[in-house]
Amino acid sequence: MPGEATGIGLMPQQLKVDDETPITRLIVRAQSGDTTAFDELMIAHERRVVAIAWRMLGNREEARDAAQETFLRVYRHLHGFDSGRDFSGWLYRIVVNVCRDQARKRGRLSLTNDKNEVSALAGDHDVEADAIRTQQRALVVRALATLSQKERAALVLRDLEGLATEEVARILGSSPTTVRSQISSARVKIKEFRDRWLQPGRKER
Amino acid sequence: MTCTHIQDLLPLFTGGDLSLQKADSVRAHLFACQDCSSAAADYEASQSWLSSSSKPNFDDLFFESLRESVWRDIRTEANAAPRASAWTWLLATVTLALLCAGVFIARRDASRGKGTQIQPPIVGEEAHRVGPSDSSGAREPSPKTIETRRTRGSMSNVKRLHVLTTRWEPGLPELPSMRNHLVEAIPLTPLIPMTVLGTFVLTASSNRLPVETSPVLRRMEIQTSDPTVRIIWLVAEETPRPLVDLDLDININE
Repeated sequence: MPGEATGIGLMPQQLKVDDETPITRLIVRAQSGDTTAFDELMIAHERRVVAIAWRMLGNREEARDAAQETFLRVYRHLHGFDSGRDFSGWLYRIVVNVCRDQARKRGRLSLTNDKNEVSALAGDHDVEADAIRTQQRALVVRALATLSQKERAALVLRDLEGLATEEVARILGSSPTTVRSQISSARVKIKEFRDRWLQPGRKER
Repeated sequence: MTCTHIQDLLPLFTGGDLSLQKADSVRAHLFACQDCSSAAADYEASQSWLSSSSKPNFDDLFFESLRESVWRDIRTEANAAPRASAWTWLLATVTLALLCAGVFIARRDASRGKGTQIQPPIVGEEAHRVGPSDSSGAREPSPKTIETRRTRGSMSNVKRLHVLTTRWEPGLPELPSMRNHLVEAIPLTPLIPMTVLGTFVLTASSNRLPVETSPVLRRMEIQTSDPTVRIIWLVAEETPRPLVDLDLDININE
């Protein structure tokens, strides 16, 4: 969860990764053509990539397509990646761009219920709890749909992925001030949505 | 700070996005203001709801299938690349072959033009008179004036020029007797076949004239009855002579 207060207007420094990290070693091996290493890289990051894609696009199948395209782009361009740099930040940038391209092709965010998700829960014996969770997820999708593409990207990376504002700014290619403005606007809209749908009798401020 | 200002800052405050100084100011206000404190709690609950409810539900099979799809795409791209290279090589080879053929054809046509330079013959001391042998005023030819070059070439693509003068005027530059003799015919434009333009240069200038003679090189252009055939005659003369128009019947036999 985000908890650090940062100075306003400070530009982020390039993050350098210790050469000894397991991810760095995997990257180096994958760059030399080791397919097992690339597979391990995918396993290490696939859940995060899919989660971002799902939150950005609101649809299971589209999230899968976006994640697939993301890893394909990573494979194509891995040879040019400096293993000393922050791989996660680079990966985030790719998945955000892929989701943006996909959303642009599709149009507005889909607000329909994800039927695939409902059927995936059929095997679980706690049906009621799962149904509630499914409903909550659907509401989150609708809440995120009230945001603009940029607000959604900033909010997902900051509040749901826990990245620092400066890193979010670097990934999105904008300034920390702009990101803070987008996050603030997004949080207001999410709160208003929640108040409207989950607490309809409550007086609006 | 007023409540309005504080509530504008609450979305950033609850997410930890304010500077330390501003966060302290907001915190101090919230300690004293019930309404703003309640609003801050609402924002925190909203963020908490978003975080807890937005966890996607994807099982291991989903991720396994995702990785398989990625590897399938990678293999498809890898297989497509060599095919594209094969086409590129084929195209490059065909282009190169066409270029070579074009150069070969151009050089062949250029050599065809030179190939007409055959024979030679009339040189030196032979008397060359053109026109009626009994024309009065025909000048005695200078044996050194006209000399054709000897060339080598194929007989199969020679254009034989038989220049038959029908009129002879005194003071004309000497021309070799063309009857039954081949003269040098050089296409003016080496890259274009003679059959296309039919323009020739009949050179009668010699490369072996002595330096001290300082000959005058005279150029005559003769337009034949065939509009595509024009004869340009170069004559090296020791003594300049006035030029007159010639009326020549030229038969070109292949």
